[in-house]
Amino acid sequence: MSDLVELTIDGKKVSVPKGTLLVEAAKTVGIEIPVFCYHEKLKPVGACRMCLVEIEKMPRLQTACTTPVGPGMVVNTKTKGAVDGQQSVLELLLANHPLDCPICDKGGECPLQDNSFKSGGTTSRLAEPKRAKEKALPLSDTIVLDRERCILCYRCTRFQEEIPGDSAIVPLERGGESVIGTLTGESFDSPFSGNTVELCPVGALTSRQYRFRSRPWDLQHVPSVCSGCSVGCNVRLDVRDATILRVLARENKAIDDGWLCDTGRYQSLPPAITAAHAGPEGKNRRVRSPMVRVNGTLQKATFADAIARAAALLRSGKSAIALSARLTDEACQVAGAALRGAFPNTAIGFIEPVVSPWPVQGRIQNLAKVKRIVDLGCDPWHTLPILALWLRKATTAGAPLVVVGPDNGLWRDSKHWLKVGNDGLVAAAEALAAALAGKPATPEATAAAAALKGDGPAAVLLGAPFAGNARLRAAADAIAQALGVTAETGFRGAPLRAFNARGAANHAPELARTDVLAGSPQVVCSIGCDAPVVVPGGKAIVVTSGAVPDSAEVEVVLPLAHPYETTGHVTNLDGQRQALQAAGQRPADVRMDHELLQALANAAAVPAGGRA
Amino acid sequence: MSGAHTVDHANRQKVTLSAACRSAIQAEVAKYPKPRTALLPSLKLAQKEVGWLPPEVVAQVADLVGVSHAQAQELTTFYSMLHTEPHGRLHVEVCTQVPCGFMGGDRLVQQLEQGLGIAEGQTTPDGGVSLHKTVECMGACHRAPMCRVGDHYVESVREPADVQALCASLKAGKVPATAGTRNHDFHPAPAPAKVGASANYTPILLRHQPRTTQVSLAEYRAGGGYQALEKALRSMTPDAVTNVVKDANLRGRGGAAFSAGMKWSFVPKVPGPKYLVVNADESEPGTFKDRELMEVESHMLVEGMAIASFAIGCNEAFLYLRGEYVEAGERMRAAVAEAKAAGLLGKGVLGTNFDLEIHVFLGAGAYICGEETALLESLEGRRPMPRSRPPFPAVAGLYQRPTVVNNVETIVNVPHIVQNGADWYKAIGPNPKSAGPKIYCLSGAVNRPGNYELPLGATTFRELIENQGGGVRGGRKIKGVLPAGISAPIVPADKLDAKLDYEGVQAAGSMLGSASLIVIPDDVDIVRAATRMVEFFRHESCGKCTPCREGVAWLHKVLQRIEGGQGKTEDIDFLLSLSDRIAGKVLCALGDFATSPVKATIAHFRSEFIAAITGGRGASDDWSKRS
Ligand SMILES: Cc1cc2nc3c(=O)[nH]c(=O)nc-3n(C[C@H](O)[C@H](O)[C@H](O)COP(=O)(O)O)c2cc1C
Ligand code: SF4
Ligand code: SF4
Ligand code: SF4
Ligand code: FES
Ligand code: FES
Repeated sequence: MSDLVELTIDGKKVSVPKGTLLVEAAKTVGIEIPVFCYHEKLKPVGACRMCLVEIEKMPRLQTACTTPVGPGMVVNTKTKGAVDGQQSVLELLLANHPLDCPICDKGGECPLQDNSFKSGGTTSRLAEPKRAKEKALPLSDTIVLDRERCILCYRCTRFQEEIPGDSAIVPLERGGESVIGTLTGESFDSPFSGNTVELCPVGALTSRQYRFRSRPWDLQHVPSVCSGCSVGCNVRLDVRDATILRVLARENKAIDDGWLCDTGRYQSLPPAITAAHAGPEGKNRRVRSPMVRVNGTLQKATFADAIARAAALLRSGKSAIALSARLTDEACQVAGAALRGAFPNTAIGFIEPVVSPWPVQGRIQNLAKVKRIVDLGCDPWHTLPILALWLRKATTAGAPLVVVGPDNGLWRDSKHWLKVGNDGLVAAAEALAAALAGKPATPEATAAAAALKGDGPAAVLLGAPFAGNARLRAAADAIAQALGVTAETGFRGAPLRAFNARGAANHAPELARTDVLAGSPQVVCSIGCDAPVVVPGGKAIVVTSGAVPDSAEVEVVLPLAHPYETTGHVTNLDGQRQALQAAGQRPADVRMDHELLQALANAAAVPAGGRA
Repeated sequence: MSGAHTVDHANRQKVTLSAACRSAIQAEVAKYPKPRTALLPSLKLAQKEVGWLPPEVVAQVADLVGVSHAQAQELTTFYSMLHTEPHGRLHVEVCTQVPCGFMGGDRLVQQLEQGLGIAEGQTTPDGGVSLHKTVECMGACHRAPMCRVGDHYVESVREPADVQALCASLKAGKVPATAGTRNHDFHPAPAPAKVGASANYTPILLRHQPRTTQVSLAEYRAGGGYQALEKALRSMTPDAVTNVVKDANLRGRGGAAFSAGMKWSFVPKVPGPKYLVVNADESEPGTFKDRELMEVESHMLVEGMAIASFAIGCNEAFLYLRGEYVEAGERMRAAVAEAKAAGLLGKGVLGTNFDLEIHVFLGAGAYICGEETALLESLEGRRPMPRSRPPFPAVAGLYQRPTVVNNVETIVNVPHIVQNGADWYKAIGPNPKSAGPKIYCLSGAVNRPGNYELPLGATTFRELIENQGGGVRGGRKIKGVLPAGISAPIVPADKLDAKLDYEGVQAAGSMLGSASLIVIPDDVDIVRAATRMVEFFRHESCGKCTPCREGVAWLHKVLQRIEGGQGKTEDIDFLLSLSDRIAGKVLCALGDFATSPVKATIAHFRSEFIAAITGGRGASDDWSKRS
């Protein structure tokens, strides 16, 4: 290929595409150039100077993270000059760095520690007192900053500026006094803030959830999928002593591009974990063992007794089984087949919609490349946060974004925001459709339509809560057609938020449209639902990985494994099926969803009062 | 920038910006190609109204400009002229940098402390006056010692009577109206005799010296002004203009001496906006030439900007002045308005189809904004940290568009080159490779400090000091001369016969840079001078890159210890080795500059460092040698 560039790094011949940075070129032949500020997903800044290398014919040392390859370049990363450069930087970085390693969260996975060891442990010659800055400064409810440990690599601030674009934290002051922070009195408010903790190359930004909870070498890593919403971001669960301590990103280039939102990162954990950190009101109330109501009070029971009681109750009268759309594909299969067959007289169905009225077509990653975008009340920033980051890739490349609706987390990136209340959505969408068709419309819609002129792939998102409205769907269709949206290159749809809505629709299609509570059931078994159904005066069976509602109607309680404690599959909003792998250790009576549903189906086969 | 946190934010009355201020901010936002450029001017407008920038005001400005609150605070805390704490109604800042410091600046601080009855850093009990010393030079070194009272320069506060008058007026709550205020109607007097290099030379740029009032449009035109613009627009192509500037070997006067015509020729001929940005940040200690050019020869700069813009295809040019140059800024704004009204700017310049708007933009106190890429960041409303290159500004500069950055003095040469041709220009001065008029800023211990324009290379250090500067004050000997402000190595007394051009000063072991010559007499304590100079760089380091941010602060700590009489013999070699860990490893030249006061003073005056360490000296507030 003509745009390959050949050069030499440490005597090795390298051939890489034009424009490749030296750090990346070196990696292709197994040469690791030490870096701090460089991160492949952020724009290079050349701030830390750790990656200094010698390039023949250049008078000064150059930073490998900012220098693109050049034909015939001769680069040396380990010569005396280069090593002197790297060691100088290291010594100066350590000059004011506290000697916190033994008590630092980053200890054991810290590039600063590693690079110092590698370079032979430069000892600081600083006879002067080290500079004092704030330690353990809470930036938000979830993040704490140690300003002495910060090496000012600007990864965190670059992330906020470049990826979500909200610049929620910035460098303050200047020179040696520089610190990371916010406006005095404000907190670090961004739905993506947790990514900065992962990006921070030292122990400066730490998560309050994880702080001091473990050392890296004591952790077991389990790959899974975020259960926060239907985007399906890939995660790594860090487990210690059977407890899931933190959720980290595990890059999937087609789904999350390496980022997580804070809802996923901090709020998707089972309560056993989050409650311990959520302050007194979040007291750990996760139910751990089966219970049945005896003489008016809930009392511990064996799994077999509880499930038998549940089955009996379900057969005792007008009953329903309400399923969460967070259940795995496997559980949905059991529900649609064995469970359906076992309880022929019971209404079974999902508590929330699992079939989108305006189904998603097209892949998430298409969003990065679209040239024109319309959002009709979806507001992904707040509802499906990682989708918003994909959309930003398109808008920062120049794609116009037109938003119609009351809320718009992407307001900074919107070309036009037709701000209307929920009740104005249909009219505004119709106006936009009309304007795109060249018909007279409101001035706002006409201006927005003008901005959408052009060609190339496009995306139209519709807010699922409003997608039941046929006129709105018709407008969305018209807009998608006007923009020439195709599933191959673009994206259209009203994505449902629930974790496994799409998997549920695929694996239990016959349960998908049941209005499960329509028949006024007296006995309702809620399986995995965020808010278990309690019919006043009726009887409730609660299968949950959370807390038990404090109500006399609850007759049976069955603890359910959280998706992170479950092995199975889920299908995300654009239809990709991904595996979950159980992490941590559950008490024996905390069952995975498909096991529990199977047990319930089996129990139904046993005649009331009898034994299996 | 914030100092100690003393404000009780919880119990403070919150401030809401007035409707007038809000609409002034909205006007700023509408003015520039991108709204964020208005962030810094908007913060300044808000500060003008409120007196300082409490968080709720920063938030209101941020909302009006459309940036995050944190982004507005980022600038508020970076620039030294923006205040996160209130200060007195009159804010007095005394320059103590080299040369002001040893020319009486430190003494002036003490005198004001006594006169006002407060310590430096404090505010009088009635909230009337606050007193601060700065390590930032304010571009008034030829009128040392000086201070700023709010936006007003009070210069040449030399005699006891000057100090008394200043104190009296401050106590009365008034900006002093004494000689040496912003309208400084005086200049080195009597004017130096025409001897040596100046004997047969008539200044081309500073042609109205010793005048200090602004040359009006009518006057400028009467002297042939704007004819070069006519010529360029009516009879030359943009490339022809670039070529004549290239042929003339006009080398950039901002320090790096790069060929201006060459730089213009790098601008790609792509569609879309291109920008000319003229660098008037002039914050190098000892430098005050651009100030005089802008205050007096404003139209020459406007004309030069118009021609340069035509050459590179720019329709929107920026003049970036340091924030302290309020007077120069006002005069430049007036000149731009005058030129626009006369059809020399704006839509269809001189009836041609060339359009040009000029924005006069003021910074807010940050030396790093003189570095061209930091300047661009500042113009974009971002934290002014230098960019890593490539890409170079000619390819991706302001708003990532092709941009030429030139110094004020570079640009004022352009009309003359266009009018008179490259050969005429190259014949000015003995060295055709570095030809043309050059303004030498002469300050420090000379009898007649000031700006002197001479042909480049036509004079030596010694001749300039003797012939123009009228010799050393008090008949003292010279210890050394800093040739490029405090950024280049000091030239010791035995090298003063070097020619003052780029090659000559380089041969003497230093750099001509901006040609800001600070004469240091033999009785100045070099350890103190080095400490003060390094303090400047520590204060002005943007903090982006590790070696400069950490290393310069470290250098300063060690120097402070030596200066305070606590030095150790090994400190000297340590300072040198630390300098090597910084120089050549930093992102921009500031970090390199910061090491030259250390390396060069130790190289030439090591014995003074040794004496300071072994001589049992105690802390002292006297600039003269103590051991
Ligand atoms: C720390 C630093 C400060 C600088 N300050 C100035 C300045 O105040 N004025 C200036 O014209 N150039 C300054 N420069 C040089 C500019 O980066 C740039 O080279 C210059 O403006 C180009 O103009 P010229 O080619 O006309 O000289 C500075 C450079 C550095 C590294
Ligand atoms: S907090 Fe961490 S990521 Fe942010 S600048 Fe400091 S070291 Fe870098
Ligand atoms: S976008 Fe959804 S799946 Fe991704 S991290 Fe956030 S909550 Fe989890
Ligand atoms: S050398 Fe100093 S001023 Fe220049 S980028 Fe680095 S820290 Fe900033
Ligand atoms: S990694 Fe290259 S400068 Fe920081
Ligand atoms: S004004 Fe004081 S040193 Fe320049």
